[in-house]
Amino acid sequence: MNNKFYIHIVILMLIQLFILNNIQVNPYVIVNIYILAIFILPLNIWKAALPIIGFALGFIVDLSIGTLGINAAAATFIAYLRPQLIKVSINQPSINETELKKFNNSSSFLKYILISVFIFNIVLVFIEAFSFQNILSSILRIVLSSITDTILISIYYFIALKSKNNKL
Amino acid sequence: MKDIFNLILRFQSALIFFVLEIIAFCLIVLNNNYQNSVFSDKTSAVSGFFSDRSISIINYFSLKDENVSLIKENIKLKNELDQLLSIPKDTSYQKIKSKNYFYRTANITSISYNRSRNYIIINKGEKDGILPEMAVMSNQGIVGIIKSTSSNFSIVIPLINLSLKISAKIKKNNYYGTLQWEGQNYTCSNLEDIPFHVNVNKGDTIVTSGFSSIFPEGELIGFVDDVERKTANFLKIKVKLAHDFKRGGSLYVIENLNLDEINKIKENNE
Repeated sequence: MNNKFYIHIVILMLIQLFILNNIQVNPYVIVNIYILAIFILPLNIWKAALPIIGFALGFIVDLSIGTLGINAAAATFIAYLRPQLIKVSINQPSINETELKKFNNSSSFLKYILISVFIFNIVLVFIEAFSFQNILSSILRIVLSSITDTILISIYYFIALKSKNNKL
Repeated sequence: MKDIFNLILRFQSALIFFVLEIIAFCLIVLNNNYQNSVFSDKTSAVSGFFSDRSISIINYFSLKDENVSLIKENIKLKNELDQLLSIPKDTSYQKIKSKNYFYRTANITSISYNRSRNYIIINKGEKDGILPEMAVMSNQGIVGIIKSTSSNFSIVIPLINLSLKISAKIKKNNYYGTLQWEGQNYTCSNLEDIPFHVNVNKGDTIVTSGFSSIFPEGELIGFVDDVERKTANFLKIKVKLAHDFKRGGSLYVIENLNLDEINKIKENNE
């Protein structure tokens, strides 16, 4: 179990605020790595804290880009859904302690990241579009952003987190 | 109380989630120009819909006042119209005749329609300047004649009373006769004394003749319903009355302003 998650949260936020927010890849690609901070929160965390953390992280990112509320809403959404999404990715209605301990090192964690990133981008893109017109371009943005985010998050995860977890 | 507290505890994360999402939504709408414009577009459509509905409901409740004011305006316009109609069409003849008729409005207090001598009581009387032998009509057509008045009320003899006979004519060819009720059907009356050679068809308009100096000339009475040769020389014409005596509402009382002059001439002649 990675107990120094708050250090990673700070690092992820710094990457997001000072590097990724200044990169304009393509109008169809929104790059967000900071949501990994929500995914690596301790599994036994107080449930009510999840949406608060999500909101806080999203709000800080919003402040730096000037889209007040958009990232906050999307991040709050996936943070609140985190326990349910973990259950879905483990493929079991209830989770016991031993499974939880394995979770961060298993392939179901990647599955969880994929689902969460996808949901996050759906919420984000539709709030940004604020209508269901041009739905094809919205879907394209969701798909491309999800792929980019998942790749970036996986890279960070495997470099900074997975190796340490294995040592522990 | 304890149950409520437990409930809040149980759904605390959902509660926090919803509160935060609502905050986020408010932030989005308040701080982002695009989302704000979309949102205000939608909300103005909704609020427009509701204010439209509420205004139509409020208007419905003010219909009564609206009606009263419209009747007042109608009376005013009728008086003005009468004045304007009395201006000769030939403009070289500049003298303007004084107006001939004055209209007052009144409401029906009580009415009968299923007897042979029906009466209508209206809520205006001597105090309002109403005198016997004034004409009464509605916006549909002729109603009757004032029979007697008290200070606040007047009795009207309607067309559907056996004792009333009025002078009427066929609008298209000006042949005149006497209109008298038969005593049964309150929607119909009979026009008599029209010679048999006169061409009358179903649907022809019957109007007042203006001979009686009570009614203005050319006010609508009704329409021909049936023509029958009653005797060798005269037709009996069934007239469907324009005014519906089962319908309430306001009536106009018409005063002939030239009545005194006409009566004076008649006296001198005698």
